[in-house]
This record gives sequence, C-alpha cells and structure tokens, in this order.
Amino acid sequence: MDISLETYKVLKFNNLLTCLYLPAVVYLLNYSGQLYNLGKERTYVEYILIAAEFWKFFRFYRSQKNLKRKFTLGNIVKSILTCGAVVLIFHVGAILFGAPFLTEQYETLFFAVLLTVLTALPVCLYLESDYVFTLFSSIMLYDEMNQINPLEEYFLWNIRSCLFGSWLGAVLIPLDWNRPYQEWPIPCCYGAMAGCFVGNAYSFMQYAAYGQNEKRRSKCRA
Amino acid sequence: MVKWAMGNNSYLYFLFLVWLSYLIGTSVILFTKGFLLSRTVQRKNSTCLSHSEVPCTESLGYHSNFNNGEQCSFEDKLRSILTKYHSASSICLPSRTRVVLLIVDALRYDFTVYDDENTNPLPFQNKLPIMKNMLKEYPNHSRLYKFIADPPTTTMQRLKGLTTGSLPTFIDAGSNFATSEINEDNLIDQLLRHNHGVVFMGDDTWNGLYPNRFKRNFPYPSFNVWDLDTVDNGVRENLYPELGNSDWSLLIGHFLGVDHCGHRYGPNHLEMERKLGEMNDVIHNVIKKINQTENMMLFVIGDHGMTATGDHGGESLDEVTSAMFVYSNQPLANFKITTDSVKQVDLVPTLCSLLGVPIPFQNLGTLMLDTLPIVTKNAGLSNWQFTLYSLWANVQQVFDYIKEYAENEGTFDKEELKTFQQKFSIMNAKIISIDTEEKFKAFTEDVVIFLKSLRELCEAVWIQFDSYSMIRGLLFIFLTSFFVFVIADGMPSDKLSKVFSSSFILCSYIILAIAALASVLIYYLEMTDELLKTVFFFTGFASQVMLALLVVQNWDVITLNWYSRRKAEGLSNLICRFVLVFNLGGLFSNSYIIEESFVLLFLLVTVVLIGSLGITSKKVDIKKKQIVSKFWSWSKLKFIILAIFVAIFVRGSAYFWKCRQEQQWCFGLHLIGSNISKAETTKLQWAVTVIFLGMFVFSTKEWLRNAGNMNGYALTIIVAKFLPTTIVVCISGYWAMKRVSSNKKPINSLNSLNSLPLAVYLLTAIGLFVCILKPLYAYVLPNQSQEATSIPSLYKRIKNNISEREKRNEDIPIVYGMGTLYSAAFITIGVYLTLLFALLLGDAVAPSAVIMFLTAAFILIVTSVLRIEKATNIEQLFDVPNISVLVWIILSHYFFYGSGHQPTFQNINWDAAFIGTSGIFSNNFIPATLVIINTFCSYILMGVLLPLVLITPFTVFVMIPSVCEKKPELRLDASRGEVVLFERDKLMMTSMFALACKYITGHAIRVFASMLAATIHCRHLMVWNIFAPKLIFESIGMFVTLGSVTVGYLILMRINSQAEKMIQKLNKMS
Repeated sequence: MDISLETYKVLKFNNLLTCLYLPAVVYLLNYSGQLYNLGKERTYVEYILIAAEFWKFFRFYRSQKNLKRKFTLGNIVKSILTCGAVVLIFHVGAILFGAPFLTEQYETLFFAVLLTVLTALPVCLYLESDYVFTLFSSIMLYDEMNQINPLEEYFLWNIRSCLFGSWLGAVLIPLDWNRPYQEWPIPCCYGAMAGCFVGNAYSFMQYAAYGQNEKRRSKCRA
Repeated sequence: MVKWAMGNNSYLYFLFLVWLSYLIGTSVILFTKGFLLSRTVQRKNSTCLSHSEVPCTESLGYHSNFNNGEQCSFEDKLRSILTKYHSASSICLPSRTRVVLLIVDALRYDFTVYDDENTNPLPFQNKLPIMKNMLKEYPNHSRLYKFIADPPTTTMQRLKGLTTGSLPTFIDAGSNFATSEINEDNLIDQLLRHNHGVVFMGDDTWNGLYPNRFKRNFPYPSFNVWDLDTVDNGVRENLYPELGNSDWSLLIGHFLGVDHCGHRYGPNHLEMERKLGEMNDVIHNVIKKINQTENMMLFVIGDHGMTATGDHGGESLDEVTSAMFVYSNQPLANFKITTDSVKQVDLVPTLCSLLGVPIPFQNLGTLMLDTLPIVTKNAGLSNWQFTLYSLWANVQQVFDYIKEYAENEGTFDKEELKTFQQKFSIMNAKIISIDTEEKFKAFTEDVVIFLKSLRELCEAVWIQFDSYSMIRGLLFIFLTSFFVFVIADGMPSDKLSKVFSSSFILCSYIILAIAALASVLIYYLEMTDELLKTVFFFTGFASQVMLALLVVQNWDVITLNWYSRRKAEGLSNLICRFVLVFNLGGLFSNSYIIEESFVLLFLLVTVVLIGSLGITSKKVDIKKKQIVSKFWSWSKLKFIILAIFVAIFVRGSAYFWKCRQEQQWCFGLHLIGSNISKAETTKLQWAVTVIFLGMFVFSTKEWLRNAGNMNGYALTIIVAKFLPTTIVVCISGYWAMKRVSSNKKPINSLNSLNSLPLAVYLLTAIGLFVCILKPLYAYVLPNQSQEATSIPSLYKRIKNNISEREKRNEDIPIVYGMGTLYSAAFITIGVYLTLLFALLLGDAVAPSAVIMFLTAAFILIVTSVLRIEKATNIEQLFDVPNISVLVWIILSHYFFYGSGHQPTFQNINWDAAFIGTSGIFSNNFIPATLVIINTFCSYILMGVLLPLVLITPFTVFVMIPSVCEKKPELRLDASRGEVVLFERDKLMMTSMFALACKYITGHAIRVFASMLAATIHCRHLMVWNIFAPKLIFESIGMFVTLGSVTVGYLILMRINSQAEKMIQKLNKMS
C-alpha cells in the first residue's frame, strides 16, 4: 500500500489530534475530580477514546479516494471478535503480571479495554483485523523494520510505546507513599496513555520529517 | 595431546572459580564485619561496699559518738549512708527481700488481662484469673505492667537484656542458637560476688549464657519446639521443693510451654488454653508458698510477646509487648510514678536494689519505684529516702557508663554530652535539699526523664559502623564482579582458553600466597591487630591487580568482540537491561524489598514473554493473507503458548507466598488471621501435593525414557528407575503419619516417625552418589545383530560417530542415550534435589518445588529454541546469551519467594530442622544445614543445574527435532544431539566456565546492590527491619550459589571424563 503525500498530511494531523486530546482527557478528569477514579468507577474515558478513534478514522477515510477496503459485515464482526480476544489477552496478561486474580475484576477489565482501544482498535480500523496479531507478535523485532510500510511502522511503534508505558507505570504501585494514584490500575492506565502520547508525537515528527523530505525531493525533481 | 590440554584447562577453570568464590566471599565478610558490628562491650564491672564494710565515722557531724566505726549501730550507719547521696552507687543498701523470678516465655500482655465482660473468650483470653484476683484483693501487694522488650525479640537477646540491662546488638540475632557465655557485667555475677545464691530451673539457654553460676541448676532442652511439656514439668517438679529452701536470694524459673505452643499451634488453639491454665496454677501455688515465708517477692514476666501466628523475633507491637506481674508479701511503695508500661531493661536495676547488689555497669534501665516494698527496718527514716538513694545510685551508674563509653569510643556528640553533664550537676546539687515526699516526687520525675533521654541517646548512636571495612568490601565485590564479567562476557572463547592455558592461574595463586604470607608477617610484626581482615585485604587487593592486568592485556579483543556483538543486539536486550536495572534498583527502596515477590514475578514474566516474542523472527514481510496464515500455522506459536504456560506456573506459585509483617493486606496460604492455627494442612492439600510429586517423577522418567536413557541394567539406570518413586512414597507416608500423630497430644510417636525422612535422606544421598559416581545414562548394545526393535525408544538411538572412519564401519556399536548424555545426569540430580526440597518444605508448600523444576525446564526449552533460531552455525550455540543467564538468575531469586520464604528472620522456616531429627542436637550443623537447604532451595537447584543452560539446545535437537527444520546448516550436527558437546568438549568447558562466571557475577552484583543500599540507608528507620536482613539473606544466598555452581561445574567435568573413558572403550571394542 503506497501512501500519498496527502494521506501523510491526514495522518500527521491525526497524530497531532491524539497528542492534543489525550492530555485534554486527563485534564477533564482532573477538572471533574475523577483523576484517581480512572478504572475504579465509571468515568466514560473508554467511550471518549473510542469515539476519538472513529473520528480520526473517518477523517482518514474521507481523504482516501482509492481505498480498496470493503466494510462487509463479515469484516466488521471479525474486527469486533478480534478486539474481544485482545481484551481477553490483556486481561489474562495483567493477571499473569501480578494483578489480583479474583478480586478487582472491574479494574483489570478496564485496563484491558483501555489498552485494546489504544492499540488494537486503530489497527482494526486502518488495516485489517488480521494484522492485529501479526503486529502484536512482532513487537520485539527490530531488524525487520525496513520491510514494512510507514503506516504499519506507526502502529507498531504505537503498540510498543503503549505497552511499555503501562509496563513502566507499574513501577509506582509497590511504593509505600499511600497516594491515591498508586492503586491498580491507575498508574498503568495513565502510563499507557502517556506511552500512546509519546508514540503519536514520535510518529508526528517522523511524518513531518518525511513530508519535508518529499517536498524537497519533488522540488529537486521539478 | 589435545585431550590432555583440555583436562588441564578445565581444572584451571575450576581453580579460577574457586578463586572467584574466595574473592566474593571475603568481600561479603569484610563488609558485614563492618556493617553488623555494633556496641562495644565495656569490660568494667560495678562494685560497691556493703553496708557492713562502711566505717561510720567521718563527716557525720551531728553524730554524738566519735569512736571508730565498728561500734556504731546498724540504724546509725544506715542514717549516715543515706545522707551521702554522692556515693550512692558505691555503697549498697542491705538486701530487702528474696525474689522468685518466673519467666513465662512469650507471655503476651493480653494473655494476662482479665476481661469480666468477655463471655466467650478465645483460647488465650481470660486464662490467668489469679492475676486479676490478686490485683483486686491485694492492690498494695501486687502490680501488673506492660513489659516492653527491645527488638529483636528472640529469647537469648531478651535474656541478655534482662540480666545486663543493656540494649541488644544486631549481630546477636543471628547467633541465637549458638548460645555463648555472657562476660559483660550482669545481675547473676553481681549476686555471686556478694554471696547471694542463685537457683535456676528451665530453658537451657540460661545454662549457655551463665555456665557454672548457679547454686542449683535444673536445665531442660529448649530447641525442640514441638515439645510443649518437658521443660514446664521439670520446672514445676523442682520449683515447690526449692521454695522451701532458704539458701538462695534469687530463684529463676523459665517456662517454655507457652512459647512452644505458639510456635507449634499459634495462640488460638486449645493447647494454649491448657498451657496458660497450668501457668495460672503455678502462680497460684507460688503465691501460697510465698505468703508462708517472710520477705519474698514474685515477679512473673514474659521475655517477649508473639504475633497472631505465634512467632516472634521482630519488632511489631504484639511481639514487643509482654507482661510483668509483681506480688510481694510486704506492702509495696506507691508513689504513682511508674506508668503502666515499663521497659524490660528496667527489671535489672529494680532487682539489684531489692537484693542489695550494685547495678551492672552497662545497665540502661530505670528503677521501677512502685515495685519496691516498703522498708520496715527504717531506722526512723521515711521510705522515700531509701528509694531516692537507690534511684540516685541508678542515675550515677548510667551516667558513669555513658561517660566511660564516650571516653573509650568517642561516639557521642560532645555538645550533647556537655548538656547531660550540666543536667547531672544540677540534679546532684538539688538532691541534698530534698526533705519532703513532695519534693522527692518532683525530683524523681526529672530523674526519670533524664535517664530516658540518656537511653535514647544510646539508642540513636549505638550502631557504630566500621566504614573502612565496609568500603573495602564494597569496592572488592564491585571490582571483582566487574572484571570477571568483562573477562567472561567480552573475551571470545578461543581467546579465553588460550589465556587460561598460559600460566596465568598459577601466577595468580602464587601471588595470592605471597600476599597472604605478607599479611601474616605484618600481623606478627604487630602492625595490625586483626589477622583475618588483613589477609582478606591483601589477597583481595592482589587479586584485583591480577584481574585488572588480564583485562587490560586483552582490552583490544574485548572491545572488538563487544563492538561486533552490539550490532546484533535487538530490542529485547534493551528490555533486559531495563529489567536488570529495576531488579537492582528495587534493592534500594524499602517498599520494593517488602513487595519483592511481586516485583520479581513481574520481571520474570516480562523476561519470559519478551523472550518468547523474540522467537517469532524473520518472516514478517507484510504480504497480507500469506502472513496471516503463516502466523496461525507457525510452529513458533507453540512456544508462545509454552511461554504463557510458564507464566501461568510462575503466577500460580504466588499461592505459596508467605507474607511479611509489613504486608498488611496480605493474602495467600499463610493468612495472618487469628482463626487459623498453623502446622496443620487439609487432606486435600496433602493429596494434591502427593499427586504433584507423583506426576513429576513420572514425567521426568518419561522424558528420560523417550531420550533413550533408561535402557539396560546398569546400576545408575536401575537406581534412577526406582529410587525417585520410593522417595515419593516415603515422603507421602511421612506426611500422612505426621498428620495422624499431630492430632493426638503425645510427642513420643515423633521418634518412630523419624525413620521415614531419614530413609529419604539416605536414598537421596545414595541416588546422588551413584549419579556422580557413574553419571552415564547410556546403554551400549553389545551386538548389532540383536538390534532390538522392540525397545520403544529405538528411533531415538544415536549412532556414535566420532569420526568418518567409524561411520563406514559395519560393526559400530549402538549406544542408547548418547544424544542426551549430559542432560540426563543433570535431570536426575535435579529430580533428587527437588524431592529433597519437597520433603523439607513440608506438605503445604511442596508443590512449589515441583513448579520450580518445571518452570526451569520450560524456560530452558524456550530459551534454547530462541538460541537455535538465532544461531547460524553450531559454534554459536555454545555462546550463552546474557538474557538466558538473567532469566536463570531471576528464576533463582523469584523461587525464593515462590517456595514460601521472605527475607526476614521471623519467616525462617525452623520446622525444617525437625524433619527426620529428634530436635535435640549436639551441634548446630545439622539443623542449620536443613534450614539453609529449605530456605535457599531455589539457589541450590539453579546453581547445580546451571550447566543445563548450556546443554539444553543440544538436548532440544534430539527431543524436538522439528526446531531445526528451517536450519539446514545445523541439521547435520543437530542429529547427533549432545554428542556435539562431547566432540568439542574444550569449547564446552570454556563456555561453561564463562557461563558460570556470568551467573556468579550476576548474583554478586545484586549482593553489591544490597550492600550499597544498606550503606546508604544505614541510619534509615527500617535498616534493621528490612535492609540488613535483606543483605544477610542475599549474602547467604550468594554463598549457597557459589557452592552449588562449583558443584555443578565439577559434575559436568565428571560426566565429561566418564564419557571419554566410555568412548575409548568402545573404540577398542570396534
């Protein structure tokens, strides 16, 4: 799949949007005094993020004139199932990493859903649901980066930084400061969001640099 | 010729490993000697003249009689003494009373409080009504206080505190069972010096502390924690007759039943009700006896409390708070100055002034004024004057001590000392003007505050670190691990073997010997006063120089090697570095140490999952459908699933975690709840454990059979076939019998019970011995014509093709089990060790030993597959990547927690010392070994099985041939399995050596980190609670690791030489 300069612009803008609305969501949570209720009580953050993803995808879709993807019912069902499977994987994974096994089910589930929304959902939308597992299974591979196209690379980096952020967030939990933000899953959720932010910022800069290069190149050609 | 060089080299590697172990061991010892050093004992004793020796002449201005002292009356003399407060500590008042001191071990304060409204008391509540009755009926004769102990709350430390009045030192906590004689000034010796008789009965710890001091001595063994009655019955037997004698001044009775009941059943058990009831009767009877004699007092004290599970040793409120009950047949003074809680050290000055002996020189306690009986022979003086005199004697003694200590050691702050001196002078001036009881009371309040602040001064500055020794230890361990890691990691193996076949090791050993000799010389020239430290320092320094030389010499090779490898490193290595940093960084945070079980679980799962994700390499050219189908059909998916299984296993072992005191929210097997009495497991647990063990033995045997190692009738093979099953039967029989016998009371059946664990020890020893003696699990088929197609594992047979010439030969002998020659022996040893751990861990935690083994096996397979994936030729497989070593290290650390341990002294599983032993030992070697095996089982297993990390890829070739389907370059070698190792045994030994070095330095760097953490936090609030125990556990773990890695290396050498012999024999045959 070749990507036109036009598409790059849209993607770049989408990245910028993400970098803006993620802090905005955190700010809103803080404003409404729900900052430390994330994952503990209903905060509707997941719905906001899902809506934002769809909105971004809609912008992207509109700009693509010759997109070959078909939105058949089968595809949609498959995507939903894939997302469900990813949620399950994240849930089990969190427990394996030491999350409570029988208690605090809601918290763990919220964490799994949040991670899925930040990582798997965009892949299901932009690429195909089959890519989800391929990308997930190759997050540890670095050498083969040059073989894949920029869109996939963006998602791969997004997944990596997201998972790494939530992994790093767990550092706070064992400390004995007795602060509200140390409770599972709050630091991991914010860590994931921070990771997503960093990933998007990175991609934004990459695309920007790429765009500049392309412009220069086309000028040269001209 | 080549073989000879090889053999020589592998011994040289062994020598280097010994040298490395020595270096790390000495650095740890140097550090701990500086760090755990604490109070310096002052050798001075208090002395005083008894009142009869005092002449009653000089300075008695008002006295009418100016003749010499012999003629003045007792009253006059007393009057003259009592006016001379400045000599209070050097002249003793006459003894006021005789004292019966009953120590009820682990008498927690709430055991003694009687609550009338509690209609449904727990087994430990309302069981001592005698105290309530006495307090109610004779409020002027009896007292009850909270009796606050200084941590650590172990019996020996408490006894030291109770007799010397000094604060405990940390290092004593570790030597609780190696009782050593007290030689600082103490109550017992003071009594002897003043011709008072002391009679003792009870816990034989006293006998170790005070040998040959007692007039009559009735010691009973204390170590058998399961024995609730022997000591108590013995004490009761001797107590009542002894009360009738009048030749003693102090009678000590030490009851252990309550403590042992706590250890065995916890406080919430019917046995506790029985033991406390017995204590109640004893107190009742003693009081009856006392009322029949004159001038006698009873002190009933607990030396420490117990936690909700009945253990002690730490400093939680439950452990520290015990009780003191006082009864006197004379009325007690009632100044209402003593609060309702007193310090344990306060007992010493109180007993001293009651018995008329000087207060021990190092005492820091304060006289308990309200427990002194009113003086009857008062010579017209009022009671408070006597009390004031004793109190001032106490103040003088404490102040003298502090002054002396400051002079000798120079530890206290000069300014602070000056203010104390001023306060003391002011009080000294004030004391003469006291003439009424009101003034006395006001004065005592000042005095009590003064003494308290003096004690706090000591508590704050007590621990005097030897920073010089600590820094040397830190530096040496860091440099050693740094240099050795650089050598082992940086040098390619051909270079490494070249270096070692030179005279390097020989030179180093000669230089070490010279260094040791030099330090001995210096010692004899009296330039240093500690031989051991000097030797350690000199040899350590010389070694660092040698290692540094080696590194500098080969620096170009090392940098080149690192540079070329750096390019090949991927993202997973970065994550591994993160993991290592977190692993080490966690040691600097107290909360991370407390929650380390979680942290290690997190890191281990991270490494396992990342490792398995790293496998799925190469084929990610994105071409839609193709990839997708490829993903699902990937044979590597198997390994992701395998990794998830490993993770599930590891997560599942969280069930066996124990909780620390600090983990309030704790969950898991050993719930800290008052409703659970311990040491009893359910039938279900027993059954699950036995099934686990059975399955484990079956599966390992099945593995070996599939590998073709179980053919033939050689001794090793027969033993390996039948012994593990027998051991499992013995273990489960022992547990079943223990369950049955623990329901009944008598302990006598314990002895007959011991035969089963003894059998397990014996069988394990036989198994290990045979396995090391004849480590080859191979079967040579005598004649090819008999080719036995019926043997199920025939297709696994590996032809012994040492050379091409033999391959063409028709008469080549067929050898079964050649492909897994090395791993079979290690697996068998692992099985024996695991079964031994299972026995020692007990039926509740035993499955964790099996889980440990299985996790290790899975991880070996996963990492080997990873390595096979990455390898481009067979030589590369000999190079163990750092991630595999890291996983192996984290594994050993994690399963310390996974097998139900915590790095705190309270959580040491002392029960292990009783398995197969009667509980009475002539020395501490056997119980200490059993407890160490129990506590550090993961370190032992991972250390001994370390060679498997190197061997497994070749085992995987044989057992899972599909892994090298895509590796045509490896296929030829792969089909021969571990024979490849044998063919390149020189390379194998070199890589094994590098692996062992990396593994040891990985552990050492963690010990270094915990040392550094202890140094940084040496004035931290929690240093004695968290950092110091962590350091001690890490250090012992380090020693265990050093030993077991060396053993593992030796076993590999042994197998190699045996295999060589066998091949030579085969060559002769054909």
